[in-house]
Amino acid sequence: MPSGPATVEPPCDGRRLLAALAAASTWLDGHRAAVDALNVFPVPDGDTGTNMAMTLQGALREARTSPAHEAGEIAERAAYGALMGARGNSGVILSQLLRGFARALHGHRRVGPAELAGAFALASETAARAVIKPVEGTILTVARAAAGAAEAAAAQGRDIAGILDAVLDETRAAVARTPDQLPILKQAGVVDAGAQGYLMIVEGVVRYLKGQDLAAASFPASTDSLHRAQVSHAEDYGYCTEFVIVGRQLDESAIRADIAALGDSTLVVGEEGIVRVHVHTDDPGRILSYAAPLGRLHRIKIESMQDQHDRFVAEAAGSSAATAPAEPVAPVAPAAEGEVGVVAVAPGEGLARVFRSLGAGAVVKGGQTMNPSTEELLAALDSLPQDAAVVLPNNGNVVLVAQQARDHAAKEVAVVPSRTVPQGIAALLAYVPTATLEENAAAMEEAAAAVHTGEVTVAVRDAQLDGLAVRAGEVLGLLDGRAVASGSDREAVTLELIEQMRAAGGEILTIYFGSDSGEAEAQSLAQHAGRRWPDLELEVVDGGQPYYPYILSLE
Amino acid sequence: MIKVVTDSSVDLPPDMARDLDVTVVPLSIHFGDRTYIDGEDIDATTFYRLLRTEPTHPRTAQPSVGRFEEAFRRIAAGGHEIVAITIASSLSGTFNSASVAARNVPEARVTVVDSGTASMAIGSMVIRAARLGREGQSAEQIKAVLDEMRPRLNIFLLVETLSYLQRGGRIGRASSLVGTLLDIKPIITLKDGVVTPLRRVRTHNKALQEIVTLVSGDAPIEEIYVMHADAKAEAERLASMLRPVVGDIPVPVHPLGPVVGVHIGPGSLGTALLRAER
Repeated sequence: MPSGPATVEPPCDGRRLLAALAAASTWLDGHRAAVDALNVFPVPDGDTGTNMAMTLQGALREARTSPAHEAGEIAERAAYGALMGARGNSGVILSQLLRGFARALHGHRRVGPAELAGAFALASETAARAVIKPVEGTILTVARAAAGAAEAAAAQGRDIAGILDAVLDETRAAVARTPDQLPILKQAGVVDAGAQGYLMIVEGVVRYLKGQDLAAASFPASTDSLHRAQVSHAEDYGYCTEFVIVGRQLDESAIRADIAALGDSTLVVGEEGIVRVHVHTDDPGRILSYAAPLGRLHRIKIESMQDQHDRFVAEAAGSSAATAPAEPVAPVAPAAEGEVGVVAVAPGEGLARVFRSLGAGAVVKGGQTMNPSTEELLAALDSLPQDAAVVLPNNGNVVLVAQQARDHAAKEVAVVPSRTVPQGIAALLAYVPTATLEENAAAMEEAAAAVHTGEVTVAVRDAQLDGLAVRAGEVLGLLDGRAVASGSDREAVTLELIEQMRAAGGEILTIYFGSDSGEAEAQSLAQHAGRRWPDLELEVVDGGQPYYPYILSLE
Repeated sequence: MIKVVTDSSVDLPPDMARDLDVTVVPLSIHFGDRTYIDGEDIDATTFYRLLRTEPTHPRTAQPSVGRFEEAFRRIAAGGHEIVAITIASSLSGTFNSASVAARNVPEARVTVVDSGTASMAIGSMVIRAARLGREGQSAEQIKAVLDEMRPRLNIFLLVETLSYLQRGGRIGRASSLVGTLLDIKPIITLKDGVVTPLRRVRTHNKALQEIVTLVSGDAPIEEIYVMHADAKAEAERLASMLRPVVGDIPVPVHPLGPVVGVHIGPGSLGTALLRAER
């Protein structure tokens, strides 16, 4: 669609809608790392950018399978694809936006200005209904603002391109307003990630209409694809160091030259205000000291190359975002007994084994982002022999997807909204296969609510959290999602966290260690905890989860 | 007058059996190739000592038909009819032995009743039957009362480990509790005569609290007994936790005998109760 003297614009039929969707997907995917970096909570998981990008990819894949040319048809296929591929809360909201969009276009062969405005409006309304307690300063606010702009522009008689320009302007403004609407955003110094993701989608569509380049500013789609490129010649066993610099007037080529002098396999990619650095070096500190004055450093990741090499040799295939498919496993209890089965989401192999051993008939592994899709949960539900099932999401960012799966499952499903692994395990202990679905849901919810969860992770950037000042790279201790301890020593922070957990009482402390800590360190931690609190029963379990060296429960 | 015969899995204290004139036919306990007759050359104390010292895992065996015949003939000779109450037929061949013996001694007029349960839950039935027998009730009347009691009986047992149930082959539906990767304390019950998992808790203390909760759920209670396998102190603790919940009835503590001990293992404790009629 050329910009230029006013012409009759080509009709927006299914083909053009599909092309616009493809453009949006490419543009969003290219910026997923930047959107991930906006995560308010400075923890390494729950990546909004990645989740939205994967959800949109699901929409695109499904839309491409349609032989139809009608806009309504394509939109419906895209909405279905997003529904199935939705990951994380942001993915679910995006899928609801697309659902509303598609419903407005139902039966239409082409999209005219009025239809487009109506679609933005219905998208916003539909997504707002998906969230129980909508909060201002998020993607929903921006979607509503965009719908308003679309309707106003259509009323003024503008054409499709004009409407989308108006939407883009309003979306940019609305995104910029989000820190004023949501205090935690202002405190963290970021705009809302979901809102930014929405902006990327609109931007992608507008760039397509204007014939602008969609690939120019793309970062590598995932960090792991970078790693894989380097692993083949990993003779140097230094540190793979990567981070994002966000700042003004970043001189990409100067940075590239400087860093290249400090290490090997330098990769520096930038666009305005954001430069992504990846380098192999024996002295990561030196690189960080160089970069720190240039702006804020985000998503700092420093990894021993030997570890990486070992790991990638072990996991030969699969992309970074590949998630293990749901594993249909024979139920532990005799299948003839019991009407109700359980699907549990586990962030690590060890935890998957624990859930299975406690009676979960199917376990879905969340993958690196710990976010399974609707489709994966549906497959797990289908694999159970029972006619009814409970789903345990075990992660706050998986609850909406679980509810979406419940709404589309063939069998009767109840979601017990466990937000952490310990809540899920407590719920599973209350599971009685021979009780009814309602009885199980009630008992499991009650059991989950009685548990206090401790989590130890690493802050990915500086933050002010719950009155605690946290530095990037520091160990962070969370109690039921609240930051309560931080510092440079993992064991010290963990012991401090346990001390705080003890305020609510409890006799048995279970320590689930992840891939970043390991058995030896966990046993040492347990020993020290045992000496400090002799009345405490201790259990050390191999959880295998990424990003969280320790998950703790005190019961 | 009706006299009551039962088997030694009932865990009825010997003095109680004497007072009620109840005949207890013993099962046998086997350690390797040594055989002990329950109540004759082995009691709870000896059993738990042997359990700690003997290398082989013990087994139980039902009383022979002959032992039942002997008991029936002796009682019949005194001019009495018999009601024989045995451990659940799903758990032991004892019911079969008693039934065959009853057919072989027709002059003894034996009514054999499958308790469908174990330990002091049988005890509750035995005590009731003996009292009704003393009052001159007939076998049919007594059987009707026992049939009415059966659904009101309940057992809650906390086992230290599931391995005894496993090795003894009576683990039933509780097999789903085996192999959990977390330390779980299981509370089991008998449902239709089969060992069934009831609750899973994380600590011993929580397990005792859970038993109290389960007993409260069955209130009002007519009779209650606390049993233990070599865990007297904990059993007393459980009894004191139960007293506020069961009202004015006594909460006696009984040791579990060797027969049940073989199958649930030392350290186990629990309660048998009879719910009040509604």
